[in-house]
Amino acid sequence: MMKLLHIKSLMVIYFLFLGNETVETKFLQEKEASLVIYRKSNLNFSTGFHLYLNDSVVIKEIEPNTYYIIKTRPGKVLLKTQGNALRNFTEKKEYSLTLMPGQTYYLEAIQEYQVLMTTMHLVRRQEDSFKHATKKMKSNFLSVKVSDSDKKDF
Amino acid sequence: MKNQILSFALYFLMGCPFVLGQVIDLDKEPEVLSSGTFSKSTMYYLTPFSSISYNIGYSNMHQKLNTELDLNQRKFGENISTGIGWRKKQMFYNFIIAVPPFSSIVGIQNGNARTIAETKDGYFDFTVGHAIVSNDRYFLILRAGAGIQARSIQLTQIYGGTFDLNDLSNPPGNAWPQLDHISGTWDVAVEILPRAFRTLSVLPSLQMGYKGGIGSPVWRSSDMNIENSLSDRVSILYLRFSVVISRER
Repeated sequence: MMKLLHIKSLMVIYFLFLGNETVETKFLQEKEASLVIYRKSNLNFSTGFHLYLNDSVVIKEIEPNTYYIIKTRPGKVLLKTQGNALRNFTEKKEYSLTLMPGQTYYLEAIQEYQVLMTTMHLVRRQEDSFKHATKKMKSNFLSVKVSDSDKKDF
Repeated sequence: MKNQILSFALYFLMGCPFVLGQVIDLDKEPEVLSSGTFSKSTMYYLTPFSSISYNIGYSNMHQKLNTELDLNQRKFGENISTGIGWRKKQMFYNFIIAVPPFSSIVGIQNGNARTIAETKDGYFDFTVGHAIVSNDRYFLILRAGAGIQARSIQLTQIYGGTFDLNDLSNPPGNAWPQLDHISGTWDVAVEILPRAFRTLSVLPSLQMGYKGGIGSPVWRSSDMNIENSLSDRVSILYLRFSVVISRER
Protein backbone atom coordinates (compact mmCIF):
# COMPACT_ATOMS: atom_id res chain seq x y z
CA MET A 1 0.00 0.00 0.00
CA MET A 2 2.80 2.43 0.97
CA LYS A 3 4.72 1.62 -2.21
CA LEU A 4 1.67 2.36 -4.31
CA LEU A 5 1.29 5.73 -2.60
CA HIS A 6 4.93 6.52 -3.28
CA ILE A 7 4.57 5.73 -6.96
CA LYS A 8 1.38 7.76 -7.14
CA SER A 9 2.97 10.78 -5.51
CA LEU A 10 6.02 10.49 -7.80
CA MET A 11 3.70 10.43 -10.79
CA VAL A 12 1.87 13.49 -9.51
CA ILE A 13 5.18 15.34 -9.07
CA TYR A 14 6.27 14.32 -12.57
CA PHE A 15 3.06 15.57 -14.17
CA LEU A 16 2.97 18.72 -12.12
CA PHE A 17 6.50 19.90 -12.74
CA LEU A 18 8.49 17.97 -15.31
CA GLY A 19 5.78 16.63 -17.55
CA ASN A 20 3.82 19.82 -17.62
CA GLU A 21 6.85 21.86 -18.57
CA THR A 22 7.84 19.74 -21.54
CA VAL A 23 4.26 19.80 -22.79
CA GLU A 24 4.15 23.54 -22.26
CA THR A 25 7.38 24.36 -24.10
CA LYS A 26 6.33 22.15 -27.00
CA PHE A 27 2.98 23.91 -27.06
CA LEU A 28 4.65 27.32 -26.98
CA GLN A 29 6.94 26.56 -29.87
CA GLU A 30 4.12 25.37 -32.02
CA LYS A 31 1.17 27.59 -31.34
CA GLU A 32 2.16 30.80 -29.65
CA ALA A 33 0.41 34.06 -30.44
CA SER A 34 2.15 37.29 -31.43
CA LEU A 35 1.36 40.64 -29.94
CA VAL A 36 2.77 43.62 -31.82
CA ILE A 37 2.81 46.95 -30.00
CA TYR A 38 3.91 50.07 -31.82
CA ARG A 39 4.16 53.74 -31.01
CA LYS A 40 4.53 56.46 -33.60
CA SER A 41 7.07 59.25 -33.19
CA ASN A 42 5.90 61.86 -30.73
CA LEU A 43 6.90 64.73 -28.52
CA ASN A 44 8.61 63.19 -25.57
CA PHE A 45 8.31 65.49 -22.61
CA SER A 46 6.82 63.04 -20.20
CA THR A 47 7.73 60.05 -18.11
CA GLY A 48 8.01 56.65 -19.70
CA PHE A 49 5.29 54.06 -19.51
CA HIS A 50 5.59 50.44 -18.43
CA LEU A 51 3.63 47.76 -20.24
CA TYR A 52 2.41 44.96 -18.03
CA LEU A 53 1.29 41.62 -19.41
CA ASN A 54 -0.59 39.57 -16.82
CA ASP A 55 0.81 41.74 -14.03
CA SER A 56 4.48 41.45 -14.99
CA VAL A 57 6.48 44.15 -16.77
CA VAL A 58 7.27 43.16 -20.35
CA ILE A 59 8.26 46.58 -21.72
CA LYS A 60 10.03 48.92 -19.33
CA GLU A 61 9.43 51.96 -21.48
CA ILE A 62 7.17 52.18 -24.49
CA GLU A 63 9.33 54.46 -26.61
CA PRO A 64 8.20 56.54 -29.56
CA ASN A 65 9.12 55.48 -33.09
CA THR A 66 9.46 51.87 -31.99
CA TYR A 67 7.61 48.61 -32.31
CA TYR A 68 7.78 45.57 -30.08
CA ILE A 69 6.93 41.97 -30.86
CA ILE A 70 5.82 39.83 -27.93
CA LYS A 71 5.32 36.11 -28.39
CA THR A 72 3.16 34.58 -25.75
CA ARG A 73 0.82 31.77 -24.83
CA PRO A 74 -2.63 32.03 -26.36
CA GLY A 75 -5.60 32.76 -24.17
CA LYS A 76 -7.03 35.77 -22.43
CA VAL A 77 -4.34 38.26 -21.41
CA LEU A 78 -4.51 41.36 -19.25
CA LEU A 79 -2.53 44.34 -20.49
CA LYS A 80 -1.81 47.37 -18.37
CA THR A 81 -0.04 50.67 -19.06
CA GLN A 82 1.24 52.67 -16.14
CA GLY A 83 3.59 55.60 -15.63
CA ASN A 84 7.18 54.78 -14.94
CA ALA A 85 8.37 57.50 -12.59
CA LEU A 86 5.81 60.18 -11.72
CA ARG A 87 2.90 57.84 -11.10
CA ASN A 88 0.64 60.48 -9.62
CA PHE A 89 0.73 62.39 -12.88
CA THR A 90 -0.17 59.41 -15.02
CA GLU A 91 -3.29 57.37 -15.54
CA LYS A 92 -3.36 53.59 -15.23
CA LYS A 93 -5.13 51.83 -18.09
CA GLU A 94 -6.16 48.17 -18.21
CA TYR A 95 -7.09 46.15 -21.25
CA SER A 96 -8.07 42.55 -21.89
CA LEU A 97 -7.45 40.71 -25.13
CA THR A 98 -8.08 37.12 -26.19
CA LEU A 99 -5.18 35.66 -28.16
CA MET A 100 -5.75 32.78 -30.56
CA PRO A 101 -2.85 30.41 -31.33
CA GLY A 102 -0.76 31.35 -34.35
CA GLN A 103 -2.45 34.75 -34.73
CA THR A 104 -0.85 38.20 -34.69
CA TYR A 105 -2.49 41.13 -32.91
CA TYR A 106 -1.59 44.75 -33.58
CA LEU A 107 -1.93 47.40 -30.90
CA GLU A 108 -1.02 51.04 -31.21
CA ALA A 109 0.17 52.80 -28.07
CA ILE A 110 -1.03 56.40 -28.12
CA GLN A 111 0.17 58.84 -25.52
CA GLU A 112 -2.30 61.48 -24.43
CA TYR A 113 -0.66 64.53 -22.89
CA GLN A 114 -2.67 66.39 -20.30
CA VAL A 115 -1.35 68.70 -17.62
CA LEU A 116 -0.79 66.58 -14.48
CA MET A 117 -2.28 63.50 -16.16
CA THR A 118 -0.67 61.60 -19.01
CA THR A 119 -2.20 58.43 -20.37
CA MET A 120 -0.93 55.66 -22.61
CA HIS A 121 -3.86 54.23 -24.55
CA LEU A 122 -3.79 50.93 -26.40
CA VAL A 123 -5.88 50.81 -29.54
CA ARG A 124 -6.51 47.72 -31.66
CA ARG A 125 -5.25 48.15 -35.23
CA GLN A 126 -5.29 46.17 -38.46
CA GLU A 127 -2.13 44.89 -40.14
CA ASP A 128 -2.39 47.53 -42.89
CA SER A 129 -2.27 50.45 -40.46
CA PHE A 130 0.65 48.85 -38.63
CA LYS A 131 2.59 48.44 -41.89
CA HIS A 132 1.78 52.00 -42.91
CA ALA A 133 2.84 53.39 -39.54
CA THR A 134 6.07 51.42 -39.35
CA LYS A 135 7.19 52.24 -42.90
CA LYS A 136 9.42 55.09 -41.76
CA MET A 137 10.06 53.62 -38.34
CA LYS A 138 13.53 52.58 -37.39
CA SER A 139 13.69 48.86 -36.97
CA ASN A 140 13.73 49.18 -33.21
CA PHE A 141 11.99 45.96 -32.52
CA LEU A 142 12.38 43.70 -29.60
CA SER A 143 11.25 40.13 -29.39
CA VAL A 144 10.27 38.53 -26.15
CA LYS A 145 8.77 35.21 -25.19
CA VAL A 146 6.46 35.24 -22.25
CA SER A 147 5.04 32.16 -20.63
CA ASP A 148 3.58 31.67 -17.18
CA SER A 149 6.63 29.78 -15.98
CA ASP A 150 9.20 32.11 -17.52
CA LYS A 151 8.50 35.83 -17.27
CA LYS A 152 11.28 37.94 -18.68
CA ASP A 153 11.85 41.63 -18.26
CA PHE A 154 13.58 43.65 -20.94
CA MET B 1 -31.68 59.07 6.69
CA LYS B 2 -28.57 57.76 8.40
CA ASN B 3 -28.93 54.48 6.56
CA GLN B 4 -29.29 56.24 3.25
CA ILE B 5 -26.09 58.20 3.80
CA LEU B 6 -24.31 55.05 4.91
CA SER B 7 -25.46 53.07 1.90
CA PHE B 8 -24.51 55.92 -0.38
CA ALA B 9 -21.06 56.08 1.19
CA LEU B 10 -20.70 52.32 0.85
CA TYR B 11 -21.88 52.42 -2.76
CA PHE B 12 -19.53 55.31 -3.47
CA LEU B 13 -16.56 53.57 -1.91
CA MET B 14 -17.31 50.26 -3.61
CA GLY B 15 -18.16 51.81 -6.93
CA CYS B 16 -15.10 54.00 -7.21
CA PRO B 17 -12.38 51.37 -7.61
CA PHE B 18 -14.57 49.54 -10.09
CA VAL B 19 -14.98 52.62 -12.26
CA LEU B 20 -11.33 53.61 -11.98
CA GLY B 21 -10.03 50.13 -12.59
CA GLN B 22 -12.28 49.40 -15.52
CA VAL B 23 -10.79 46.90 -17.93
CA ILE B 24 -11.29 47.81 -21.58
CA ASP B 25 -12.09 44.82 -23.75
CA LEU B 26 -9.95 45.04 -26.89
CA ASP B 27 -11.83 42.11 -28.44
CA LYS B 28 -14.95 44.23 -28.72
CA GLU B 29 -13.60 47.75 -29.06
CA PRO B 30 -13.90 49.09 -32.61
CA GLU B 31 -10.99 50.89 -34.24
CA VAL B 32 -11.53 54.56 -33.43
CA LEU B 33 -9.06 57.34 -32.99
CA SER B 34 -10.67 59.83 -30.68
CA SER B 35 -8.23 62.70 -31.33
CA GLY B 36 -9.14 63.01 -35.00
CA THR B 37 -12.84 63.54 -34.40
CA PHE B 38 -12.59 67.13 -33.17
CA SER B 39 -12.34 69.93 -35.70
CA LYS B 40 -13.01 73.00 -33.55
CA SER B 41 -11.78 74.08 -30.18
CA THR B 42 -12.07 77.01 -27.83
CA MET B 43 -8.93 77.38 -25.77
CA TYR B 44 -8.19 79.30 -22.61
CA TYR B 45 -4.51 80.02 -22.10
CA LEU B 46 -3.10 80.43 -18.61
CA THR B 47 0.49 80.55 -17.44
CA PRO B 48 1.05 79.06 -14.01
CA PHE B 49 4.74 79.86 -14.30
CA SER B 50 6.26 83.03 -15.63
CA SER B 51 7.25 83.03 -19.24
CA ILE B 52 10.80 84.13 -19.85
CA SER B 53 11.73 86.92 -22.20
CA TYR B 54 15.12 88.16 -23.30
CA ASN B 55 15.35 91.81 -24.24
CA ILE B 56 17.66 92.77 -27.05
CA GLY B 57 15.95 96.10 -27.70
CA TYR B 58 15.67 99.37 -25.72
CA SER B 59 19.38 99.79 -26.33
CA ASN B 60 19.43 103.62 -26.27
CA MET B 61 17.73 103.87 -22.90
CA HIS B 62 19.83 101.01 -21.53
CA GLN B 63 22.97 102.80 -22.61
CA LYS B 64 21.85 106.14 -21.15
CA LEU B 65 20.97 104.62 -17.76
CA ASN B 66 24.22 102.70 -17.78
CA THR B 67 26.53 105.60 -18.61
CA GLU B 68 24.83 108.35 -16.60
CA LEU B 69 23.54 106.54 -13.54
CA ASP B 70 25.53 103.28 -13.71
CA LEU B 71 22.29 101.27 -13.71
CA ASN B 72 22.57 98.05 -15.68
CA GLN B 73 19.11 97.02 -16.81
CA ARG B 74 18.33 93.31 -16.67
CA LYS B 75 18.02 91.61 -20.04
CA PHE B 76 15.90 88.73 -18.77
CA GLY B 77 12.34 89.49 -17.86
CA GLU B 78 9.29 87.54 -16.86
CA ASN B 79 5.61 87.74 -17.61
CA ILE B 80 2.47 85.96 -16.65
CA SER B 81 -0.06 85.84 -19.42
CA THR B 82 -3.61 84.86 -20.06
CA GLY B 83 -5.49 84.55 -23.29
CA ILE B 84 -8.16 83.00 -25.39
CA GLY B 85 -7.83 81.11 -28.62
CA TRP B 86 -9.93 79.38 -31.22
CA ARG B 87 -9.07 76.59 -33.60
CA LYS B 88 -10.83 75.65 -36.79
CA LYS B 89 -9.20 72.54 -38.23
CA GLN B 90 -5.60 73.68 -38.72
CA MET B 91 -6.02 77.41 -38.19
CA PHE B 92 -5.45 79.01 -34.79
CA TYR B 93 -6.49 82.49 -33.65
CA ASN B 94 -5.23 83.84 -30.33
CA PHE B 95 -5.45 86.89 -28.12
CA ILE B 96 -2.83 87.05 -25.37
CA ILE B 97 -2.35 89.65 -22.68
CA ALA B 98 0.71 89.58 -20.45
CA VAL B 99 1.53 91.46 -17.29
CA PRO B 100 4.64 91.36 -15.12
CA PRO B 101 4.31 89.36 -11.88
CA PHE B 102 6.94 91.55 -10.24
CA SER B 103 8.62 94.70 -11.39
CA SER B 104 12.28 94.30 -12.19
CA ILE B 105 14.28 96.45 -9.78
CA VAL B 106 17.91 97.39 -10.20
CA GLY B 107 19.63 99.67 -7.74
CA ILE B 108 23.01 101.16 -7.08
CA GLN B 109 24.44 102.63 -3.89
CA ASN B 110 26.40 105.77 -4.51
CA GLY B 111 27.75 107.20 -1.26
CA ASN B 112 24.75 108.14 0.83
CA ALA B 113 22.33 107.92 -2.06
CA ARG B 114 20.69 104.83 -3.51
CA THR B 115 19.37 105.07 -7.07
CA ILE B 116 16.67 102.64 -8.15
CA ALA B 117 15.20 101.86 -11.56
CA GLU B 118 11.91 99.96 -11.43
CA THR B 119 10.95 98.47 -14.80
CA LYS B 120 7.60 96.98 -15.80
CA ASP B 121 6.82 95.22 -19.06
CA GLY B 122 3.50 94.24 -20.52
CA TYR B 123 2.11 93.28 -23.89
CA PHE B 124 -0.99 92.45 -25.80
CA ASP B 125 -1.07 90.60 -29.09
CA PHE B 126 -3.24 88.87 -31.63
CA THR B 127 -1.74 86.01 -33.58
CA VAL B 128 -2.94 83.80 -36.40
CA GLY B 129 -1.40 80.36 -36.58
CA HIS B 130 -1.33 77.52 -39.04
CA ALA B 131 -0.40 73.98 -38.09
CA ILE B 132 2.59 73.09 -40.28
CA VAL B 133 2.62 69.65 -38.72
CA SER B 134 -0.78 68.24 -37.85
CA ASN B 135 -1.11 64.57 -37.02
CA ASP B 136 -3.11 62.44 -34.62
CA ARG B 137 -0.62 63.18 -31.84
CA TYR B 138 0.31 66.88 -31.91
CA PHE B 139 0.26 70.20 -33.70
CA LEU B 140 3.33 72.19 -34.60
CA ILE B 141 1.97 75.68 -35.14
CA LEU B 142 3.65 78.55 -36.93
CA ARG B 143 2.22 81.84 -35.69
CA ALA B 144 2.37 85.41 -36.93
CA GLY B 145 0.71 88.42 -35.45
CA ALA B 146 0.73 91.99 -34.25
CA GLY B 147 0.38 93.67 -30.90
CA ILE B 148 1.49 96.31 -28.46
CA GLN B 149 4.47 96.20 -26.13
CA ALA B 150 4.72 98.65 -23.25
CA ARG B 151 7.54 99.37 -20.82
CA SER B 152 7.68 101.85 -18.01
CA ILE B 153 10.71 102.87 -15.98
CA GLN B 154 10.44 104.67 -12.67
CA LEU B 155 13.66 106.20 -11.40
CA THR B 156 14.02 107.21 -7.79
CA GLN B 157 16.86 108.24 -5.55
CA ILE B 158 16.73 107.97 -1.79
CA TYR B 159 19.17 109.16 0.86
CA GLY B 160 20.18 107.08 3.83
CA GLY B 161 19.73 108.15 7.44
CA THR B 162 16.56 108.67 9.42
CA PHE B 163 13.13 109.71 8.28
CA ASP B 164 10.43 111.12 10.50
CA LEU B 165 7.00 109.78 9.58
CA ASN B 166 5.42 112.96 10.95
CA ASP B 167 7.34 114.83 8.31
CA LEU B 168 5.74 113.17 5.24
CA SER B 169 5.74 116.36 3.18
CA ASN B 170 9.56 116.46 3.15
CA PRO B 171 10.66 113.39 1.14
CA PRO B 172 14.31 112.36 1.60
CA GLY B 173 15.13 111.84 -2.05
CA ASN B 174 14.44 112.61 -5.68
CA ALA B 175 12.10 111.16 -8.25
CA TRP B 176 12.20 111.46 -12.00
CA PRO B 177 9.07 111.46 -14.13
CA GLN B 178 7.93 107.97 -15.07
CA LEU B 179 9.23 107.07 -18.50
CA ASP B 180 6.89 105.17 -20.80
CA HIS B 181 7.61 103.46 -24.07
CA ILE B 182 4.71 102.10 -26.05
CA SER B 183 5.40 100.43 -29.36
CA GLY B 184 3.53 98.43 -31.95
CA THR B 185 5.04 94.98 -32.50
CA TRP B 186 5.03 92.18 -35.00
CA ASP B 187 5.38 88.65 -33.76
CA VAL B 188 6.52 85.28 -35.08
CA ALA B 189 6.36 82.15 -32.98
CA VAL B 190 6.43 78.38 -33.02
CA GLU B 191 4.11 76.49 -30.72
CA ILE B 192 3.88 72.83 -29.84
CA LEU B 193 0.46 71.68 -28.70
CA PRO B 194 -0.58 68.06 -28.13
CA ARG B 195 -3.87 66.78 -29.54
CA ALA B 196 -6.90 66.63 -27.31
CA PHE B 197 -8.51 63.24 -26.81
CA ARG B 198 -11.42 64.36 -24.65
CA THR B 199 -14.11 67.00 -25.07
CA LEU B 200 -12.55 68.94 -22.20
CA SER B 201 -8.78 68.65 -22.11
CA VAL B 202 -6.06 70.42 -20.19
CA LEU B 203 -3.08 70.58 -22.51
CA PRO B 204 0.47 71.76 -22.03
CA SER B 205 1.69 74.22 -24.65
CA LEU B 206 5.19 75.41 -25.34
CA GLN B 207 5.72 78.52 -27.42
CA MET B 208 8.92 80.15 -28.56
CA GLY B 209 8.86 83.43 -30.41
CA TYR B 210 10.28 86.77 -31.36
CA LYS B 211 8.73 90.23 -31.07
CA GLY B 212 10.07 93.05 -33.18
CA GLY B 213 9.05 96.69 -32.90
CA ILE B 214 7.21 98.53 -35.64
CA GLY B 215 9.24 101.72 -35.98
CA SER B 216 11.16 103.18 -33.05
CA PRO B 217 8.94 105.37 -30.85
CA VAL B 218 10.30 107.91 -28.40
CA TRP B 219 10.15 107.67 -24.62
CA ARG B 220 7.33 109.77 -23.19
CA SER B 221 5.91 110.52 -19.82
CA SER B 222 2.40 111.10 -18.59
CA ASP B 223 3.78 113.28 -15.79
CA MET B 224 5.80 115.77 -17.79
CA ASN B 225 6.72 116.76 -21.29
CA ILE B 226 10.09 115.17 -22.07
CA GLU B 227 12.62 117.17 -24.05
CA ASN B 228 15.52 115.61 -25.99
CA SER B 229 13.80 112.24 -25.73
CA LEU B 230 15.32 109.02 -27.04
CA SER B 231 13.80 106.63 -29.50
CA ASP B 232 14.07 102.88 -29.01
CA ARG B 233 13.17 99.76 -30.90
CA VAL B 234 11.58 96.71 -29.30
CA SER B 235 13.30 93.37 -29.84
CA ILE B 236 12.37 90.48 -27.58
CA LEU B 237 12.87 86.71 -27.63
CA TYR B 238 10.42 84.79 -25.48
CA LEU B 239 9.64 81.31 -24.22
CA ARG B 240 6.19 80.65 -22.85
CA PHE B 241 4.80 77.55 -21.17
CA SER B 242 1.02 77.67 -20.92
CA VAL B 243 -1.72 75.47 -19.60
CA VAL B 244 -4.45 75.33 -22.23
CA ILE B 245 -7.95 74.45 -21.10
CA SER B 246 -9.47 73.34 -24.35
CA ARG B 247 -13.12 72.68 -25.13
CA GLU B 248 -13.28 70.43 -28.18
CA ARG B 249 -16.12 70.11 -30.66
